[in-house]
Amino acid sequence: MMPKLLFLKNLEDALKDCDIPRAERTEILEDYAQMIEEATVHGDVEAFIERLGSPKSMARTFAKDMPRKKQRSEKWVAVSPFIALIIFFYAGFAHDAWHPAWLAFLLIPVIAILSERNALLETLTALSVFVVLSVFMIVGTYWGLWHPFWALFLLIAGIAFLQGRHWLHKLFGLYTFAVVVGFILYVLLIEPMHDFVLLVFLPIPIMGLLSSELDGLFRQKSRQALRRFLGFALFAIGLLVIYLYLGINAGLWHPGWLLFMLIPIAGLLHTQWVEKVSVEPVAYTPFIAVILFFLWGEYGNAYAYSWLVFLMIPITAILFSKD
Amino acid sequence: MNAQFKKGVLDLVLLHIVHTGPVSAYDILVKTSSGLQVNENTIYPLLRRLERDGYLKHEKQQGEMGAPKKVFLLTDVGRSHYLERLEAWRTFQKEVSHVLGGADDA
Repeated sequence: MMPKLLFLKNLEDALKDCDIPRAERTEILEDYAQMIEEATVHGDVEAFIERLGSPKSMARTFAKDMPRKKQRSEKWVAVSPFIALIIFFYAGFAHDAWHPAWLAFLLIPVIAILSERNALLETLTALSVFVVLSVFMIVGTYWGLWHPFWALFLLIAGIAFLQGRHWLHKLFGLYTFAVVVGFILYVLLIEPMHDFVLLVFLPIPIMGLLSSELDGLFRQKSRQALRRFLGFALFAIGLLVIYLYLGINAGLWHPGWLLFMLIPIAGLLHTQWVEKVSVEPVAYTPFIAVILFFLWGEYGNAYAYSWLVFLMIPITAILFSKD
Repeated sequence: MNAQFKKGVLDLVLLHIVHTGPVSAYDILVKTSSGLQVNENTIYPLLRRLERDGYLKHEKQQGEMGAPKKVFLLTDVGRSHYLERLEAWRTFQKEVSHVLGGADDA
């Protein structure tokens, strides 16, 4: 592909990824097309495109510069730790439900995500971790159904698939949703469960790999994307194997599921240290807090105190805020 | 020079380039980067912001190659903003020079 067309295509993809509105996108692309045209007239096109830098970082600059209407929602973000604390204490003291009332602390990142007002699918993806965790905890705590509801965590991957541009991405997403719902219903309704049923999950990491290749083809970076997804798929499969082993042999469905918290943590570490994209420290805290809360609560028999670790979320947000 | 410092004066530089007359984004980028060591990634987004803030406007001009070309101009608000910023910059420059007057001897 010609350098101009390739640059404009990559820029268009990057702008879409950053949720720049269509009208803005069109204008930006037209302007860059004109600039490159002028550079061509001056015989400077390749050097000019090189000087412009990576479309991805350009798109991020535009995204940061987009006008935001979030004064009102910022107030909700600021007040969310107090709302969470009130719900937690009320449920704890009035109904002796310290667990799962700690889930109220997840309102803090949830409100922060909603206040960002990103595109619907991106918001759903960001929320999915917290929604899945909440449903899983409630179902597990009140009905003891840690198994088969652990499969809900795969919906996070399902939603991520749906964000892809290729029609195959949508198909992968629908398959994941169908498998999760089908598996849960199967385990709940049909006894005994045959182990071979677990094979329905096998295509999901494979789809993860294929999905990365589709993305790679879109962005001319297939090898890098493939490596990343290969690493994550192997990591996720490894954790799944360990979890199933702990669950089947030691009955540690809970708190063994905490292993899955390592997936978003690894994702954030990879983004920060390998892709060199800055990650707010507060992004790590919900996952670290959940792990510490349960380990301290479960093995230190101290749920009455372990909720304190959730305070690390607002404290980190305040201490490391760039504003 | 510190990137943050450059960022602070870059809008003045762009307004200065545009105040001379209608100029295309390409010319603005070339003129800016030929005089200042700045990341060219930052210039066009800043240009858009200045337009959004009402300091710049654009119009289509018949180009030499036939195709109409988008060029940027100062608005009336932009012109007075430019003059204010320029005045502020000159005052700041004088004040800093005054303070650093003997810095070369140090």
